[in-house]
Amino acid sequence: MTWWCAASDAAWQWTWRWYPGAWLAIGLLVFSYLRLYRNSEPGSVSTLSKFCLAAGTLALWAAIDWPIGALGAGYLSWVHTVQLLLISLIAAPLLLLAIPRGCLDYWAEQPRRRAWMRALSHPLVGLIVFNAILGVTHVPSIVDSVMKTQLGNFGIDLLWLIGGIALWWPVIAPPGVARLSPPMQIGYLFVSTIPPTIPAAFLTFAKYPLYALYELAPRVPGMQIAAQADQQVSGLIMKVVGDPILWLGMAILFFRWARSERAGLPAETVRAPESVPAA
Amino acid sequence: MRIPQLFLVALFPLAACGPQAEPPEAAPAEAVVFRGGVLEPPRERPSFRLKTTDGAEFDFASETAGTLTMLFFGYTNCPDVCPVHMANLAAVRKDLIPSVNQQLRVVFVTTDPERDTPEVLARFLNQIGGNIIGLTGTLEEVERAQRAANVPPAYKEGDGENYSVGHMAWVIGITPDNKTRMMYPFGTRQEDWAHDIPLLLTQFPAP
Repeated sequence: MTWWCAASDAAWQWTWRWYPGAWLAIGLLVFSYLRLYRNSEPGSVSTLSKFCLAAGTLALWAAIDWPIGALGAGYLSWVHTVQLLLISLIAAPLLLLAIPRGCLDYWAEQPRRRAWMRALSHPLVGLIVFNAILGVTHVPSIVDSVMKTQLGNFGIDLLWLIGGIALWWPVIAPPGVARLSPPMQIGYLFVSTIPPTIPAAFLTFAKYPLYALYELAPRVPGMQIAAQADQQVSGLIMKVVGDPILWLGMAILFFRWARSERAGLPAETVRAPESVPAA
Repeated sequence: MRIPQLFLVALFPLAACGPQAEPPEAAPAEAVVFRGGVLEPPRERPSFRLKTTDGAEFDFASETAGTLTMLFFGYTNCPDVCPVHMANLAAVRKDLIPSVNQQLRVVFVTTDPERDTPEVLARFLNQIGGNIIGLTGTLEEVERAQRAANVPPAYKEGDGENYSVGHMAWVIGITPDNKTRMMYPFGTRQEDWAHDIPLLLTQFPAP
């Protein structure tokens, strides 16, 4: 049974296919969040949290299910990059923002958990984890071998989600856990746009297709694109679409910071862990 | 456009010092390693007559004599192998230096002449690009061509209009010395073609 999208030698068909693993993963995710919301204090689940849950779930679902998941897994390199952006740069931050603020504060009250959350909120951790995952999951030999199996493809999707959470955590971590002030968060997101230039450049400027998987994949009816052009578009999407998503995050942080400055409010992020109530 | 290229060159200085894309010097044949499968012993250039998509007679042996010829038997409704094999070969042609490109012929013989009318075949090959010569004929003529090329004849699979055609998925490489020497299975990559084509020209020049 095909439970997760994976590369296949079969010709592409525009007929819907069911991937039970993707549905199960989304079901479990939504169930976990709804349980979290039910156990949260009354009024602590904002409309924004609910909106972020809906949008983040939809982005993740679109990325791992038919057709995007199946096309990206074995037919078109550029769709694979769209999956990456949907999972790491859209679903991950939205799902983090969907966690009720009270829950994060509550978790941070326990010293051990707070220590973990604080360690993960170090900007270097976010940059290293995300970019290591990005690099490893774009090595041709790994892509060509791992993506032929459902488990391998599931692993890549999961790694991208983990990488996205690591990338966005320093920006979304609650007060008392966060290490960066708003201007530093903006700077962090700006720096985050730089390392992906390396894999994007390899994809865009390689003389020949890097991945046998996409070079030898059956052509997709209605989406005729040469293997080399497919790879170039993939590299361009990584930068031309990926960077503006991070710029949007920077803009939101900037305007939120400016608003709090104008109102004379303290910045939302506090550096001192002492401000967190003892467990 | 240039900055990332410069960046990559700076990152990998040794790669930037590599040889340019010139045809390599002829080396002893036994020292050369090809990416395709080598036929031992080589056979003569096949001889058959078919029609081009313009309706002109095409004597394969005389029209391609003295050139490096990549011959493939396939069909335009093929869902996987044929368009990918041809597209990869066509893509590599764009990067070959003109002197190499001029000595290369790529010939696609349809194994499904019923559906692959000259117009259909021409449209298919135009979409792929790469100046591929399309040949067709009656089913008997195409079978004769396959036998001449020592290829098992293609056969129909399934009924109705949406049948498929079972055919050999190898590109046959015929060198300028008019010998059939190479077989390239499906899975041959663009960088493999780019490696072998100049080598075949220098190793087996026209007599």
